[in-house]
Amino acid sequence: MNIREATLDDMIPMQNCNLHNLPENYQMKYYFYHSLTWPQLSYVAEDEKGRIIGYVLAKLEEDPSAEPHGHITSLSVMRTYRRLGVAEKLMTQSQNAMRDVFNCKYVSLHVRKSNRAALQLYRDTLKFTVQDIEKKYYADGEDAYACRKILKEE
Amino acid sequence: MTSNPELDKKLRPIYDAMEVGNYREGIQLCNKALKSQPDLHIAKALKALAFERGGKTNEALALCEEIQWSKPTDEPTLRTLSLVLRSAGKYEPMIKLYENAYKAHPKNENLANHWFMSLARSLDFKGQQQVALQLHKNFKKNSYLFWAIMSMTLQGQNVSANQPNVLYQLAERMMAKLNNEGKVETLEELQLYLIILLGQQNRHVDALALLEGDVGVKTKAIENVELRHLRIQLLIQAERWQDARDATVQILKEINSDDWRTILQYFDTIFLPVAGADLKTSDNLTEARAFTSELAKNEGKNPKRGPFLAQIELEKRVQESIGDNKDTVLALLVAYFEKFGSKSCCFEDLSTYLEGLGQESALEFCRRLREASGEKADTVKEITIQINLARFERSVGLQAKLNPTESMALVNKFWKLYEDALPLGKDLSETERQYGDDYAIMAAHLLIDIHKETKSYFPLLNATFMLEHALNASKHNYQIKLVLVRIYELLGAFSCASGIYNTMSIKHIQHDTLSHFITDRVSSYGMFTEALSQLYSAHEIYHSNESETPEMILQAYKYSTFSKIQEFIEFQSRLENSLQKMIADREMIRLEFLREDSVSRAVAWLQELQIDNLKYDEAFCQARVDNRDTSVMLNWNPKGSPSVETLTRPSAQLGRHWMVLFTLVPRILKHMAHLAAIDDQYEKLVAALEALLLTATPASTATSSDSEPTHSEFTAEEIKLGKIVLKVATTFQVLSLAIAAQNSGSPSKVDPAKTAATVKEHLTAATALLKREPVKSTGVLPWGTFHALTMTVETVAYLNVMNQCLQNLISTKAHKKAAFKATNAAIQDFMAQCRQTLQSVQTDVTALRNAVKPDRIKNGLLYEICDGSSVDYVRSGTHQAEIEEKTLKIGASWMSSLVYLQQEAVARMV
Repeated sequence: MNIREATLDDMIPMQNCNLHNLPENYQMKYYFYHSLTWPQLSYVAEDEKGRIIGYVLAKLEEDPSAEPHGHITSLSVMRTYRRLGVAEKLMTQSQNAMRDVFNCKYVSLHVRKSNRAALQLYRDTLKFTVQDIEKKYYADGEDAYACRKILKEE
Repeated sequence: MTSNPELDKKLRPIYDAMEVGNYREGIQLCNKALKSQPDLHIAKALKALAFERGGKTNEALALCEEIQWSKPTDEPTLRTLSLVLRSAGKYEPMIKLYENAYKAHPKNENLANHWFMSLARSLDFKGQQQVALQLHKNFKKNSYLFWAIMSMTLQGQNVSANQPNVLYQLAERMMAKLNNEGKVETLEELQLYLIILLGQQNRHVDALALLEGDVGVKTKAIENVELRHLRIQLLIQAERWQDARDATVQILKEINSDDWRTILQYFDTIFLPVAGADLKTSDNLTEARAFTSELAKNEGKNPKRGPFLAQIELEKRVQESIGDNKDTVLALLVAYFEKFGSKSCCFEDLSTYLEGLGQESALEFCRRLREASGEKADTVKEITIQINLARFERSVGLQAKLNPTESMALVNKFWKLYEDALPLGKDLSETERQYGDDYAIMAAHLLIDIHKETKSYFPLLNATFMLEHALNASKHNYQIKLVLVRIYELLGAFSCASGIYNTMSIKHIQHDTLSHFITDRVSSYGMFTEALSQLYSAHEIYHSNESETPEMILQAYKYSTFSKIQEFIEFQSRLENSLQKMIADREMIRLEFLREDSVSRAVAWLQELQIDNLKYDEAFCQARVDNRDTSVMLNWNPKGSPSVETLTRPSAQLGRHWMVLFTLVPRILKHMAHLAAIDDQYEKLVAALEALLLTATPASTATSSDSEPTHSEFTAEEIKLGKIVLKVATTFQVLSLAIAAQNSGSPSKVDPAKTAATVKEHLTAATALLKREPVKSTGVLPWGTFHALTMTVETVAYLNVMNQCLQNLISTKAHKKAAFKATNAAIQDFMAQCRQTLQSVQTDVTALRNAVKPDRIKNGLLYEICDGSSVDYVRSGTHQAEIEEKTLKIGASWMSSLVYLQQEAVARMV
């Protein structure tokens, strides 16, 4: 398996990778925006045949009122490649860049309240902690767990 | 807003109206403002915007042009104009507007930036370069120099590789100067430098020096995954074998033993230096074996797959270059399965290696796995192992050897395994799949095999029942959905297919890559409105590409993300030149034409038809890019035999020839609709159609396979359509020339009787082609039935127009109409034939409608499905209500198609 920076050509296989995930309907332009602005934060995982099996899209939160931090917009691993540590590797790569290149103190993300599998992954495997519950975060009215992980101790 | 409070006050209500989408009021308010101040550019621009947003693009553009003449220089007006022009896809005018504005305000950096960006939007690299240099001269920022360098690089990339690339040389010189002054500071600037160096021949040593030099250190290049990878690649190119090997070994040992790119690079450092030498005695091979087994040994309780795959890859390469290594590879594959057989990617991991071993070893592999794993399937892990094993068994051809009875027994076995796995997944959340879903899919694959062999549609019906049932427990399994869509299409049940397709929430780029699953020959089902709406919604992606991607290119300049600019430009062009886009476009033209159900409206529609995009020349065809994804569907069929995706195509895959056919037909019709004289262009169209049909052979819909030549893109009905149109197009040519000669009284004028005879000859040939076999209901109405019926209706719809044109030619162009009386009679005869053909369609459709009425389906088809079925799912008795519901749904879909088809046929009986 390879982890490499995402390119525009990955758009097509990435979308197919997303077919089976309940996609958060993120827009194509989001992806453009991310990959453009912080190309070091978005990665794809490909298998030995060069097919995309997962990806992470991330951005830098530039809100001047808050500490600089990274935000995971989308993480997806193809079902066939689950439980192989792909998500963990993608996340590590992105988090390292957040910490080393952009000096981020922490990284944040949102999980659907009903998505127990994802919560388990973030909390138990990736060591995120639930910070808060954001009411009606998703377009369909579902609540979100706001999670966070410290990248750099003060 | 402007910087003028009084003006702001005046404009506020306009902005407010626009914001809530009240464009009519916006226009009125603009008019009011313009009444008191006719030269208020911003009000005019806002009015244009209101027109554009309200869907009146032509009015908007006319207004823009008016404003352009007065050369506005204020930013709000320019910004508004830019919005209007951009959403209309017109980028050029803004360049001049911003240039004017900047020249009027040479101190305004913002305007200068807009000028640059307007050029970038139009991909005018040369213009960009000049403006960027001017920006640097006037405002002294380094970033402008990088813009200039980027612009030069973009111009240079089209220079062919063996020619001296002056632009790259110039860009490199500027870059080197900046670097010497210590002004290359960011990773992206370094990337740009590398793009320039590596874009020229044999510069890898210089690129390497740059990466390993000061800038590399300063930008922490080596911490970046991509640049780290690039460095090793360059080391290999420079034949610094030891350095390259050390770098790969370090990554694999210390950072990530699973990094396949690096593993392959490691093998390059092993194999490339000794290429041609005797590998058997090579120290390199010994070293690689030791290293990969060390990597494998280091893996602990949760082993990564990389090291073990590396061992297989290594021995496979040894097998390829010296042979005599099959047993080693086989043993490694078996050992790999023991370790990773419970991971669902195991099949993907090993399938190519297994193929490389040959049939005998592959069978031996399956035998050993079966011996080791038995049939145990009590836990999730065991189920995954069993599914992997079944995949391997199918892929080595074990299932292909079965006769239909044995296949059916296996279908039943898989279905039982599927059901047995359900309790394990009872707590899975709705978004997950059941553990045994692939059993249901493999059962469907077997049923497709049986259908192909026996030609019976019952296996397909059974497959839809089982897949629909499995979908209840795995609502989002797109693999189940894709194969269902295809099976419904084979069954001619378009509403069912599109119902499933619509639940897949296909979006964005998928509209380009996956929409072919639903839009290919979508007109065939007779449901023109629904077909058009599928096509329109897929087409959105091309509009958003046009309007959004250029903005992203601008973002890249703004953020100095140089490494992405070329990517964006390529991406944009890949979508812009998409083959699927053109195929869908031609299908839309067919359907839009068919929507006009009276001859006079159809003629008017053709006269209005824009031909700018109706290209068909060789260069245009070759420049189309095929982005369609045909590999997304699960497939475990043996290598060399057609994939499930291919097997489930209701008809041959569409391509460039098909696109040309449906470009030529409307263009020929358009020429006729104008009653235009025969010219070069018309002759070219007719000749192209003739040439196309000469090389076309119909693809047999049942056995289309990957190996067939691209010339068989057509169905038999499409070839017929082409031939008929060709006959009548030639008739038009003959008649038009005869009338012209007659009118001019030239000595070369043809004897009217001879003209009539020629016309009659062509039309008789067309009549013969128009003859159709009556359709009989056979319980199931497959795709082909609907295709044949719709194609007849479509052909007659064209003929109605063409015949009208032939008649009009005589009645409006001929000075002596009486001379063409006999010709007219021949046309009349032909029209009667067309009417008769539609009459026969109408008779058939009426009979079919009777056959698919719900009670007939219940007592006929449903009874046949259930009576004596060998499918356990059907026999079990617990699914009767579901089976009845689904069967009636398929029947209802056929009924809708027939009802619409009948309307279309009746409307065209002129």
